[in-house]
Amino acid sequence: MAVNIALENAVLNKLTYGPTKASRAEFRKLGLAAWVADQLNPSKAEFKTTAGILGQFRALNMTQVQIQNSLPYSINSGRVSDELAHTTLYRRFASSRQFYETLVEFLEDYNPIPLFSDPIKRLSYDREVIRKYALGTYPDLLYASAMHPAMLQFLSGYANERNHPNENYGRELLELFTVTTATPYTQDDVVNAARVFSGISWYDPTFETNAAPNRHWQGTVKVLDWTDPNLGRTPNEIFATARSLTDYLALRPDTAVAFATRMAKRYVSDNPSASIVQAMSQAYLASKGSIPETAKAMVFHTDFATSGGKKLKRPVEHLISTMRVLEMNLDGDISAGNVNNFDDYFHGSQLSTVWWFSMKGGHSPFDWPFPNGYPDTEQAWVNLAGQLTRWNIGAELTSGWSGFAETNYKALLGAPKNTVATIVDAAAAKILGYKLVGTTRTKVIAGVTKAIGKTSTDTYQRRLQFAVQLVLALEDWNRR
Amino acid sequence: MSEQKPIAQACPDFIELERGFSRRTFNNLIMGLGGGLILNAAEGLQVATAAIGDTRADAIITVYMRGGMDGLMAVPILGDPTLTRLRPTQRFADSKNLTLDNHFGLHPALNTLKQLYDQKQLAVIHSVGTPVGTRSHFDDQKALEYAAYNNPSNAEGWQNRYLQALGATDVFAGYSTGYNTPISLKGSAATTVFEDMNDVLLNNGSAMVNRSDYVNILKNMYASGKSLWATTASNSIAASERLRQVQAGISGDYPQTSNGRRFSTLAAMLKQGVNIKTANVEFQANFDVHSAAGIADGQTWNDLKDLDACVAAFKNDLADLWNHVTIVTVTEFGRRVEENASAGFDHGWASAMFVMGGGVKGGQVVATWPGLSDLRDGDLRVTLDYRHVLAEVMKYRGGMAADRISGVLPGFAAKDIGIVNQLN
Repeated sequence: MAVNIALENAVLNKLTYGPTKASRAEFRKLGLAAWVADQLNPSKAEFKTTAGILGQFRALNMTQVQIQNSLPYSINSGRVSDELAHTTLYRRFASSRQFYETLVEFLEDYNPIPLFSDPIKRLSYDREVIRKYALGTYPDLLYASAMHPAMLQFLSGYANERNHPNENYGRELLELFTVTTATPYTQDDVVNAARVFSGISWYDPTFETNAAPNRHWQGTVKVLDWTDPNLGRTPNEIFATARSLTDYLALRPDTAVAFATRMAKRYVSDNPSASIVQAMSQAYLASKGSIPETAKAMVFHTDFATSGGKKLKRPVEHLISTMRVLEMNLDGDISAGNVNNFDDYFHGSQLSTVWWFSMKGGHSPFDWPFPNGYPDTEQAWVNLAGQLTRWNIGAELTSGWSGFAETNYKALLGAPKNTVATIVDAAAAKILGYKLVGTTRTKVIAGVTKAIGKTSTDTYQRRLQFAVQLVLALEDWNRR
Repeated sequence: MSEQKPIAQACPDFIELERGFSRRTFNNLIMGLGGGLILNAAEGLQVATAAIGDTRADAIITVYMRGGMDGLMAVPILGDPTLTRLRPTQRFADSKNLTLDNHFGLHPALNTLKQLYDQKQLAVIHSVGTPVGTRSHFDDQKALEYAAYNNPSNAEGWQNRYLQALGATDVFAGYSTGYNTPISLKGSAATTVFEDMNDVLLNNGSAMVNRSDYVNILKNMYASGKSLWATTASNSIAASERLRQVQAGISGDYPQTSNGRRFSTLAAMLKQGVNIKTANVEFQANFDVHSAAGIADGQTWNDLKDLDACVAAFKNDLADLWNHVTIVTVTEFGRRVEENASAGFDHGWASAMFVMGGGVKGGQVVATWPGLSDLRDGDLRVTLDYRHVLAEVMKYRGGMAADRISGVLPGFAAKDIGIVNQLN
């Protein structure tokens, strides 16, 4: 069967963190429909054999209370945020559930909380809100987010009480998490949304969300076309009104359009067509806000198959996809020393180098300080910083400077014949999935020829490596 | 409260905007968005291709206080019982504030700014802000940076239009700290954005490849590209090579904060003769103080102290070059006048701006003070459009021809407010 390389590249560059030899083979074996079904299967194993180095991280599956009472976190909770950032990068690199992992990133940007806000709560938010509902519905995710101590802290819910409603969360709920400013809501809508959540906070020792009637603004509230008597006499009444509001907002048609638009801008292009947005928003409404159903409407729309290259990779997508296409290996021991010594624990590992690269790109997981998520347009990232750090990281990864095992380029490229043109074609085929043509090919060939003289005994090895470095520096590899 | 200098009364456009405000019209007003790359030049700039900038001109530096800096904590009104009543914890007694004039004080962490004020190198503009004010960080930031109200088709930022108006073509003419190009610099004029100079010097990776060969190979690969990535790439490679020369010039006794590094990097570029026309420093802080504003010993104190220390180090480092920069602080909005239950402030409207530099008509607070009894939905009113400040600085310190102003700030009738001296 003929391979539709445009579709394969669109799928593996957009719905995963970049193709590998194995993922190309798997996609060709399964075809699009079966591949998507497999990827979005909630019971699909995250890792094929072992959990890799993920199993060595300690806080990942702990409750907030357990973390608070454990070394080394009771000494330095910042170590929890380090763990979350590191394990997130590892999952993007190694997880078998790649499509799911990209949805997790999309949703982390949609309802974001920066790590510094509170590391312990943030780790739980990742697990109990984003990862838990990424294959569920947006209304469920939104309510869980609104009730989670991490969000109650980040957007000042704990400070929101009856006499002086704190508008922080109420405003972003409307502006960022649901209808957006495309819908003309008013300051009264913001204040009433804030009132709905007033008195909701958490118990410190247990991290359980609670609602205090004596801190809750009681009385009829109206937000857009939603009203509620909001008696708020008991915690359950307060929670029920909050749930009613988040469901109402999450299931509005304008929220469906906003959700679909944001998802299409994440995956398809900076300017998605009205047609694909409409198909996705219809799927969203028909499925009561199902995230995977909306994603499927996107993938099976005709626009998707031809959308390859229409998005610029953000820095971490570039980083992880480069590691994947080079078939790097990140398994190994992460505890450089005593696991209870937070100065040693997992710092100095290869994964820490990956995290450091993500910092240099200005795109480390959960490091964006504002509640609107990392920018996701070409305009925001194409600049000196964006380009030089990518080229430098590409050069470091190909030359094995970073403490990783040196890539066997001969094996990676399938032992091409020792002519520059053949080597460049093989490098492009491996990395991009297609051969270069025209002046781009001519220039890469000229570059390898110029840089690698013919006198050295290791000319072949150097040509292989430098051809890979130059293909990685092309615009094509920086797009998805 | 008697009024300060009643200058620059709100222009008719501005009043109309405020009165006719709704979320829908606001979006129509400021959004040329749609994402992606739109590179249409602003109307009126098509002829500005020749170098028309004044070589004596200042570098115009914005310090961007994202998050919404409270103008009343930074520059409090003195002797006003309303402020005392509305802010039970987040205010200083008048005697604790630094004194600017009979009406306004300065936050006590801003010692350097007070010195600059006394040396007539700092002007304060108060009850200033964006003409609409939506209390949305993101809409108001966009509005601030596009600065193109009534021009929904415009998709370039004001600093980029300014570069076009100057005819600036050097990639360093517009510079911002950070990793993302701010909207204010977005547009067809080439600009440079980076955070840490060490990260943007081109490494050849393999020592087996000669570095200068590598530079030339990359240059050649991107020599004829037409995409945004490719055209930017050519500029980035050239800029990176030039930064190698600048790197040695990083010096000075700056605060050990990311903001300190940003100011020191900018100073190094200026000292090495990099011809920056306008720069933007993203000031890392948490001005979005919904709770625990910390005016006396917390967030606000620390952030203003950092600003003060950065300005002190920057001025010291620049030495005589201080006379060739004008610093303008900007923020998307001020904060609610009344303190909330958690010693913080929700989003508001008017704030204060600082204008600093050797060419500033300092030692004055410019404000048409609206008072604290006539608030707009709890917010200090904007009585001066921030674009008046930008316009005067561009015209008199940036050396931009006066007839270019309508291209940079389309649809805006700028008036002189008397905050800077003309170039001499």
